[in-house]
Amino acid sequence: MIKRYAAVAAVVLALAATVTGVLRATARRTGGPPAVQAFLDAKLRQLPQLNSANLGAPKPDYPGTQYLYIAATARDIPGAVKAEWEAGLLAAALADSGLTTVDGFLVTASDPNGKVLDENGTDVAPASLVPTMISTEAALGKKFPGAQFLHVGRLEAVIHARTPDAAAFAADYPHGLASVVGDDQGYDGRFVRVDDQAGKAVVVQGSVNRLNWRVTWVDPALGGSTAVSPEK
Amino acid sequence: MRRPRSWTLIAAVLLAALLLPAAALADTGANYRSSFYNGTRSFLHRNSMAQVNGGGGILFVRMQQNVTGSPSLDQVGWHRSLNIPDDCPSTGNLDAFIEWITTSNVFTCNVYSESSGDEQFGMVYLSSGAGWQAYRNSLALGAPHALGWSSGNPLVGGEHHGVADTVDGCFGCSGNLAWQVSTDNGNSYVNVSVCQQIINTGWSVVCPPSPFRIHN
Repeated sequence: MIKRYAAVAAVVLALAATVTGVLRATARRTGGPPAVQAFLDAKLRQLPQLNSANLGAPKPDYPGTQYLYIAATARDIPGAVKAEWEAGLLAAALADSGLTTVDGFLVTASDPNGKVLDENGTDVAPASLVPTMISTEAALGKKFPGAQFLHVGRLEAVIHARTPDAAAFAADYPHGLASVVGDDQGYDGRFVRVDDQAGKAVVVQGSVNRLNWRVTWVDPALGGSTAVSPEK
Repeated sequence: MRRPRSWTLIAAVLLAALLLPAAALADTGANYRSSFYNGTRSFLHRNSMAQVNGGGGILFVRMQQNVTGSPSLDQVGWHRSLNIPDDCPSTGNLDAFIEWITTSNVFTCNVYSESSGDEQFGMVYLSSGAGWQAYRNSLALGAPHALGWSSGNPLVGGEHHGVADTVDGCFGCSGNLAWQVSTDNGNSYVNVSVCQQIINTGWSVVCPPSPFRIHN
């Protein structure tokens, strides 16, 4: 009898796992040809904040013939910037796959309740302005201990750090980030998040070298905007 | 709870970095208009933008939601930086660039290959409502950006950050297109002749009308 229950439980678990997998795959399914779908599904497994990706015609006044539209979930604006970086990696990888045309991408990042936090994207350039020399995970692991590595393109790094002085870091974040990450070389893309001592984001920045593209957020409460105002 | 190694080590790096002398985020020299428009454009001649390790700068034609109340903006022009994670990719090259900042303080920047150092740049809110569109030599550059506002203050000028270098440009020089503004989404323009300036330390800004030079 126990063996029968165990067998039934195993079947139920297997069915549940299958259904979950199907639902997940369906939720992340794309609208393109099978080869494109398979490519995007494989890449999406590495990109936790992206929910779906669909090819479609450009919006009115957008350049090109085909865009990648991506839906993402984030809890806050720093999370939305991470989602935008992931979307950039996905668009660059698809553009370089040769499977289809990608003239640009647009990602809509919503919170878990469906409220849109940010919408961003860009056109996809034919090629990077500066060819990227790719390092190895081992070498980058020494440079950035504890960094997470992705292989959406060839190699991407996700780097977390903390600062003991959030206000000073935000006030001069380019120098602060330079002290953390150095130059842009060694990977296709980089995401860096710098938190304060309580774990609250101070600066986040994502770069995708292939797209000649970078997105940055600095906590507005700490200043750090590059916009200028007349001196009073 | 065990703290990840990365946080400990990189925090130490940060602490060391913060002991270095502080530098200003950016310094700026610009002409602007406090009136509201939905387009601006200018021919831009580049006198100099040096390549300096750890430094960067831009020469720009910009629309900003409100120079006294909002950082949200969209701007186009030239960019150059090397080994400093500023808002734009640090290629070390002289690049054309578009940067847009949302009302949520998200800065996004694309760089494009540059041409000659003599180009016309513009920023216009499209009458279709698709957003702010950058123009380079009268051709659309990149996609429009919907930022949630459809008129703003125009600015032209330069910005520098990091290790000292030169940012030097001339707007409407040699008989080329003057700095202009539009109230009808770029269908027609008028020359700017009013002088309103932002001059941070080290900058020299000549008043409109064009031609005028702005440099640090």
